[in-house]
Amino acid sequence: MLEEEKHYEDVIEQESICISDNVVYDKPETLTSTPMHYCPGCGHGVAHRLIAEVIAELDIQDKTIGVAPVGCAVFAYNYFNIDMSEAAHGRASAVATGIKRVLPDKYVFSYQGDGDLAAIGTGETIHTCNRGENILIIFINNGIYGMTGGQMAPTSLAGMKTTTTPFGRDVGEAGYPLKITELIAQLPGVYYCTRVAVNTPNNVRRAKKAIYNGFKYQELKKGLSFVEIVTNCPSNWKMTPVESNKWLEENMLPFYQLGDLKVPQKEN
Amino acid sequence: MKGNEALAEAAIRAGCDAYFGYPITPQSEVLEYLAREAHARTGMVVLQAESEIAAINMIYGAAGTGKKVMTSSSSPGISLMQEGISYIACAELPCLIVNVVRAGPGLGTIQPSQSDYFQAVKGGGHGDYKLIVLAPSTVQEMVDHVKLAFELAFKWRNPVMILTDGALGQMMEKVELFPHTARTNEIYDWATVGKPKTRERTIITSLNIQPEKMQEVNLHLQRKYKEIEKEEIRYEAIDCEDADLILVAFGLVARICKKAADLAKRKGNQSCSV
Repeated sequence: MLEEEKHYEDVIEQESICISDNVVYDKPETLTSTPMHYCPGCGHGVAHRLIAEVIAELDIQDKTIGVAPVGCAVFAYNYFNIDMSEAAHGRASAVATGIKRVLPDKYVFSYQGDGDLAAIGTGETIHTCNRGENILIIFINNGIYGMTGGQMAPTSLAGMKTTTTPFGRDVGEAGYPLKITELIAQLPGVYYCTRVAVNTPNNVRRAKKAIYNGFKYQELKKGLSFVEIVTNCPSNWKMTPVESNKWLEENMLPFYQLGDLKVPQKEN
Repeated sequence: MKGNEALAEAAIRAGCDAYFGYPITPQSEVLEYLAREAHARTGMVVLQAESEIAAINMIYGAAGTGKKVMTSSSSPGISLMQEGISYIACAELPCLIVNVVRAGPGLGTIQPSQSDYFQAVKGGGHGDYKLIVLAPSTVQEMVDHVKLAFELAFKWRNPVMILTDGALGQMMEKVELFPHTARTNEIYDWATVGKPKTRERTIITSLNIQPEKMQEVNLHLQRKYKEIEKEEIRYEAIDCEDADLILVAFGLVARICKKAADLAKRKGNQSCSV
């Protein structure tokens, strides 16, 4: 045992650390104990935890149904301890619509990445939002296809190197990065639309508040809530987690600016 | 009643909980009739989706809650639904899909056809799966098959297709409607309705990433299909015992064949049957 460790041993005994009275931070019961498959430093784990915490705090585990996408979060249902449905690529918001329409008093959310929501599922996304379905859509934007190994996403930044834009995204050739959240904010069926991140403790707290709002507005039957979470992808950005968060700060966030795009109007 | 409208009326009477669909000729009357009639009478959900792809995925979501759900379309639209149908078949969800067939390939024509036969009975989308397929030959059977389709879908937890065509869909015939069955709120142990503390979570998925699991699922599905083949084959044989020539047909063509056999008999050919 190192001298330093011995010191801590003297101060507090291990048994007293583990007693439940001393627990200040725990895994919510809405998360399973399955180890996540996400890469070290990835934002998915934080986003999952925030959603699970909100469901636990609102005490709606028995009333919540989640829809998982195709992408890195395809196994999201292994981690959330709630009823879940796995959707085909891009179709999560249609699946969520089907669930919500027959179970209007339940809480329904979809969890989708940028390729799923803003490329192959653009039609479903726009129309689900436009109908004002009373659900919450969580949109994870890391500007790249993670699961398939780092190809260009609709949200990849101009000049960004991916395996399918090896010389950088040429917007003349491959089109422009799509700010789909700005598009969605224009639709009258959308009640709440915001962009958050999970790269700093402050941003994590704001993200949790946004997710909480989304569930709360659903309870009040206000229509669609859309929460974009700008995240990193250390593996496919080919960076360490720390580097990727710095890159996110310096490159992603100036383009995908954080903040509310649509907030509820004060009702008279 | 018109075939498409009779089928829609039968869906309401069968206690259907939700319909998701997209207009396409020659089946748009199903959606139109339900939009007009269903919600006020039984509270049934009727939603026009933005595409057949969205419609079948809404079906997937709603079917996963254990509700009685259906969609309808015609050939090109059914092609668009194949991905979703494959997911539904693998996740073993009950639902009714109606194909009011028109001729193809491609955009084809809006005239009736039986050209989607192989797509319907061999699977249709990717992977080894099968549908239970019912083929009405009269407007009366368009009605009766709706009720039967829901029974089979829930008995076997499998998507069921009613394979009809544009002629039957547009044809008007006398029908006898069955009495109303109330919508139920039955909760199935496989359904995603929200997890109480007293049970494990339910997951609706068709993802089986481990090859052993995938094999197990496929073997299970094939066993189920064999059992369905054994128990659920339905046909009508008319005077086939001593026939030299048997005409085998489904749907509207079966009626044409009946007439042809009658004519053959009248002309002295006693050994032609259907």
